[in-house]
Amino acid sequence: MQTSLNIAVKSNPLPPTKLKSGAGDLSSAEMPEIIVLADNNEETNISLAPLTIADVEGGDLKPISSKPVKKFQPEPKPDPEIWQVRFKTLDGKLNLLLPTEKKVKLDLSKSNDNADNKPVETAINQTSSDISLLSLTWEEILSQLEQRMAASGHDWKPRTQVYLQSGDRLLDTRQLQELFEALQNYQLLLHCIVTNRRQTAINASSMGFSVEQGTIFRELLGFNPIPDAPTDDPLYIKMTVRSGTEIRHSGSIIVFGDVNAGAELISEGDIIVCGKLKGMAHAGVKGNAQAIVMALHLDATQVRIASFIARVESPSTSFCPEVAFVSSQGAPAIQIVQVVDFSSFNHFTLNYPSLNQ
Amino acid sequence: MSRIIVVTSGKGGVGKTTSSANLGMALAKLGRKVVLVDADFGLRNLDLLLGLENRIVYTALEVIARECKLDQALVKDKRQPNLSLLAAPQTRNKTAITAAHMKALVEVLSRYFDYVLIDCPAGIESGFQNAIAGAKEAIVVTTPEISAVRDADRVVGLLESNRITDIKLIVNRLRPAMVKNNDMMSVEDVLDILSVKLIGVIPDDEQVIVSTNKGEPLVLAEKPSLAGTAYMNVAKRLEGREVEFLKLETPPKGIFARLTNWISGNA
Repeated sequence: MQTSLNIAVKSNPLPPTKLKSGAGDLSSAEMPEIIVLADNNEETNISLAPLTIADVEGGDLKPISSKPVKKFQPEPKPDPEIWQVRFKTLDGKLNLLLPTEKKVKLDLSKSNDNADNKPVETAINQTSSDISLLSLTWEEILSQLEQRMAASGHDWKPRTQVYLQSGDRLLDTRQLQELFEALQNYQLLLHCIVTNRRQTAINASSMGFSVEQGTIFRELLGFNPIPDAPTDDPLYIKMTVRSGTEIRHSGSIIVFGDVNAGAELISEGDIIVCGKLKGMAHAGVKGNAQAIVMALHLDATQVRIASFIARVESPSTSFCPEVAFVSSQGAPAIQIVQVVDFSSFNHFTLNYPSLNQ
Repeated sequence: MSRIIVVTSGKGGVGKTTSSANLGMALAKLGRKVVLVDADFGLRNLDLLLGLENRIVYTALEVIARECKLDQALVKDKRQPNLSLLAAPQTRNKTAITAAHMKALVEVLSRYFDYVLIDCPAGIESGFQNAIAGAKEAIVVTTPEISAVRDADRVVGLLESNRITDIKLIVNRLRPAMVKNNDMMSVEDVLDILSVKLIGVIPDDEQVIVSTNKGEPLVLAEKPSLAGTAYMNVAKRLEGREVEFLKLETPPKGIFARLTNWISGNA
C-alpha cells in the first residue's frame, strides 16, 4: 500500500502552486521525516482527492493535468538503482542483480535540503521513493527471486552458471547458502560472486564460490542517459500476477497471464498483458508519455501513463484487446481504444512538445 | 507417503479452523491416521471445535522446548481414535517459535500419520510463515466475498513463492439463493480470479455454529447436514476419489427431496 501511495504522489502532476495551496503545511517542511513517515497517507489523500472526484466524475476517463513531472524528477544519479531482483544476460553470462540497498539517514537529510530551496514535490518524491525501497527485507528478496524464477525459469538451460552481482551489499554465508539453494531449485548454479565488500568476498570464498572484485557494470543496469526513455530490455514473465505482487522494471513489461486486482505493474516503458489486466498498471513511470498499456482484457480500475492517471468508472464490457495511451488531441489525456483501431490514431508519429517542456 | 497440508486463507473468519476440524474428522472417518496441528499460537480455537479443550496438558511449544515427549502432547479423540490434535500454546504469541521449529515438528509428525493438517492463523505475518514452513500442499479457504477472495489471491501468490504449488480451494459459506439473484459471487467468479483447483463448495449452514459451540464437528452428526456432507466430500476428493459436487443451485423444496439429496450426496 505504501508503495502505491508513493507512486500516486510521484506521478501526481499538480503544479507546485496548486499543491502548496492544497497542503500548505507541507511547504514549510521543517520536519520532512514526519511528512513522509507519519502524514504521508493524509497528505496524499489531500492532494489526490480533488483529482479523483471532481475531475474524473464526468465521463469514463478524463485527464487530470497536462503538467509534466519531468523537471521535478531527481537528477540521474551516477549509479541507477535496481528496484527488484532481476536476471540479465550480458556477453553470454547470466547475471543476478539484487535490489539496491538504501540507507534511511542519508535520504532524509537529502530531502531536507531539497525542501529548503526546491518545490515541495521534490521532497516527497525523493523520500517516498527511497522509503519504498527501504522496506525490502532479505526474506522479501528471496521470495521475489523465487517468483521471478518461477515466471521465467524455463528460459534457461539446466546448470547455467549464475554470476551474482552483489555490488556494495554485505552477504553472510547463510544468505549465500539460501541464494545457492534457491537457484539450485531451478537448476541454476551459483558460480561466481562479484562484490565490492571484503567480508562478502571472504564469506563467498570460504563457501567455495569463485569471487571477483568489482562494481556492477553500467551495462547491466541498463543505464541510459536519456531520462524519459525506457532504459532496459523488456521483461517477459509467464505467471499470474497476484494481489500484493509488485513488478517494477526499468524497461517494458510483458506478462503472459492475468494481472489480478491488487497487483501492480510499474514500467519505464510499455506494459503489455496477454490476459486480463485488473490490477494497477503504470507505464512510462519516469515521464515517458508515449508509453502504452495494452491488455487482451483491459479491466483495470486505474491506468497510469507517465504523469497521467485515469480512473475507469465502470468495469469494461468489451472483450476485445484494448490499449490505453496518452492522446494529444485537445488536452493530453489517457484514452482507451480497441487495439485494432489504435493505428488510426497515428500514435507513433505524434510529437508531444508540450509534454516535454 | 504422508501428506502435509496447510489450511489457510489470509482473511480471518472465513472458516479455516472449521474446515480443518471437519476435514480432519472426515479423513479419520475414512480410516486415515490424521493429526491436526493448531498453528494459531496465542489464539487457539481448534481444540474448542473438536471439544478437546479440557484434555490438553502439553502444547506444541512444550514439544519444541523438549519439555515433554511428542506423544504426551498429542490428544487422541475418543470419538474417532484415528484423529489426534497437537494444540497451540494459549499463553504465548506467534513469535514464540520459528519456521525451522515448525518444519521439524511437522516432519516428525509425518512419520506417524497419514495426514498432517496445519490450521494456519489469519494474516500473512510470521505466524503464517511458520505455519506454511513445513507444508507440502495447501488448502485455501475463501468465502464468496471480494475481500476474502482478494486476500486468498495474495496468499496463493505467497504460497507459490514459498514453493507450495499444490494448492486447492474451498469456497465456504456459499448461499445459492443469493448467487441466483446475483447478490453474491458465484463459485465460477471466484475461480475466475484465483485460477486454483476447486476441491469443495460448502454451503452456508446454521448447523456450523451449533457444532462449533457443542465442540462436535459436523461430519460426526448422525444425520449429516448439507455442510457436513460437503466436508465429507472434500475429504473423499483429497483421497483422490471422484465425487460430484453437491447440487446447491436448486435447493430442494420438500422434506423428501432434501432427504434424497442427502442420501445421494452421501453415496
